[in-house]
Amino acid sequence: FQTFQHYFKRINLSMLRSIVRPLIRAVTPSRSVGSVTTLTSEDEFDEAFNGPTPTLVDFYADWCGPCKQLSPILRKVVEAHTKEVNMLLVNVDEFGDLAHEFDVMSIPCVKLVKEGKVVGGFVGNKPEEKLVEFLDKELE
Amino acid sequence: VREAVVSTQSTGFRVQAPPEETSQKKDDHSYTFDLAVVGGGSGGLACAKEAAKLGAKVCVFDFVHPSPYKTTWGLGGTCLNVGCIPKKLMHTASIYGELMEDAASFGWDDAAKNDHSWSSMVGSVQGHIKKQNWSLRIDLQEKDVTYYNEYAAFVDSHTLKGVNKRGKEREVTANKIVLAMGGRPNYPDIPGASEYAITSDDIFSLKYNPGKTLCVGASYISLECAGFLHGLGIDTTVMVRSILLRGFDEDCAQKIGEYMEAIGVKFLRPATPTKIECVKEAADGNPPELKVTFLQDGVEKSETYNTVLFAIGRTPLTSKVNPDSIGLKYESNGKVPVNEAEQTNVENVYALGDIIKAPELTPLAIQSGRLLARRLFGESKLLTDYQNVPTTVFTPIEYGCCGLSEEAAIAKYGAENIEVYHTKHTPTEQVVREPSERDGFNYAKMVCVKSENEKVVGLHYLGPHAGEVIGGFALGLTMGATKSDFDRLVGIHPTSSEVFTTLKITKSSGESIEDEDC
Repeated sequence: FQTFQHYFKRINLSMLRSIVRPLIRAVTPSRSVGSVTTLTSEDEFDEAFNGPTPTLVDFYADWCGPCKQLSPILRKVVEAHTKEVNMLLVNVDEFGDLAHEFDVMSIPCVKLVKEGKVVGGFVGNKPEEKLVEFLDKELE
Repeated sequence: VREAVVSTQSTGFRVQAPPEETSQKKDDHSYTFDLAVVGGGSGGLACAKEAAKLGAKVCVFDFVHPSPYKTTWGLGGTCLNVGCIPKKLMHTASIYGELMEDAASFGWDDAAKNDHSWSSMVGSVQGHIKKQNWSLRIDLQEKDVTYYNEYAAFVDSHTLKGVNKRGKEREVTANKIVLAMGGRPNYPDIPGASEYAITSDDIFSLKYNPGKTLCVGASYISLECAGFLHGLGIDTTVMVRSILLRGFDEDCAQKIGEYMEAIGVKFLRPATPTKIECVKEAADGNPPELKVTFLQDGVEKSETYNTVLFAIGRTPLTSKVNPDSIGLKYESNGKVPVNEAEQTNVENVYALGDIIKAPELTPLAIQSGRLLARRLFGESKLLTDYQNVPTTVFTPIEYGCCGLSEEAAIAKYGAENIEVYHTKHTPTEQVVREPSERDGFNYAKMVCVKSENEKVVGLHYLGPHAGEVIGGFALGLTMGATKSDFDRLVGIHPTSSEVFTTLKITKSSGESIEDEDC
């Protein structure tokens, strides 16, 4: 019993987690969770733009109220979606040239890009159902 | 013209489309643009947009070289980014502090002045500025003005070379070229100045509370900055070489200095800094500790400050535009001489805004930009009127004026020919507040020419809302109003502006303008 106690004392919560989580993942249906990142360099953008995974580019600014409303909901929709799609937040104050290249005239402005092309998008804040609808349609 | 990208068709592109070569030009010439504007500030943008509206093919070059402190900003020029706009906002922030103190006497018992959050204020101010940077950029796009975020300089009188932040170069030709690059703050030639001190380029976006601050200079920029810093609860000192607000009415400039001293702004005068050393580096969001050595009355002294702000003058960016390559005439201080139509000595090159010898004011630059565009590309012959341009200094006691100072009027017409009417006044908003060191400074003065029916050539006002008070009256001056015109005008009561409709006492009479008794 002393030996048993000795080993069990060393098992803590994080150890339990690291055992249990993979077990749960193995038995639940898999979900493609796309990544959500904020752009830090134009090179990073080129990677996302030209890559095979569709990316939702969210053009926003810190001073834009509707942007602050849209981004978290968009993130939620992207993370919950069954098809793989990444989300890339682009701050138009930092990347004005990029915004200009993509004809962003008012924000929030969302563009779906894939393999070097813009395949869809929308402007302005939208309710969650519309965002889901949009993604469902575009990712078909 | 760029293709619309928001569509389900694949139209991705990563290359900037060049301006169309086939579009109509205004005049018969072979240059790419009808007009190229160097400088995307108040004057430059107004000129560019007006020209585009009249059908000209226009481009604007705008680029901000970072300050020694590494501050930079977007489209819109000095006024929007590091001038009028943030200045007025921060001045307003400091006035709120004052009003909160006065609110108690109006029954707001809990209106104690709280600690001010510098970063919160800067966040709000910069948020507004960035929103405007964006709007301006979109506006140019919508008005078909090509915008190059590049530092432009002359190759020849019809060719400009732009360099972007990555060093990429582009050459552009234009029929007419308008220079509107504005200026940047000067640094003194003393050790430590550019390494440790800041200027108005930096104060409005400073990431940390500036702490104990020294403002060097007697300009309106120095006094306005010192004024709002003090109002926000910051320990502020102003270092001045000789007189305050050179060029402004001396009487009013003096009263501004007295007011600022009365409310607790420290003045070191006459004094000049000789050296700045860093005692402790900035760290963890705190400002540095700087030791400033200065000469006061011939005696060397030193004092420690967290921030040193130089506001000792500004220099136009003329030398940076490669003016010698086209033989452009300009003065040693960078100012570009122009004729009444803003034309330089080079036939197709014009200049406006802060780079010419005229009041350095946004509305004047905008006006001259627009009228120039209308003369170049429209049917207009109207020239800009540089006389009687009103202005306001947003020091803690505001000073609004239009026309001549008392000294300038005396110099122009002779002392015997000038009659000065004046009075002290107390705005009704201030009658209830507790007596304080701020009392007794509100003042109004009207300078008249006796031989011209007492025509009003100068109007001066010290008090709250100075810009609002003087702005409308400037129309009277431009239309040649006399003292009796002002007397016949019925003022609005109770306001501060009505003081100009009831002036009675002249300086020459020697009568007192003080309140006699309760």
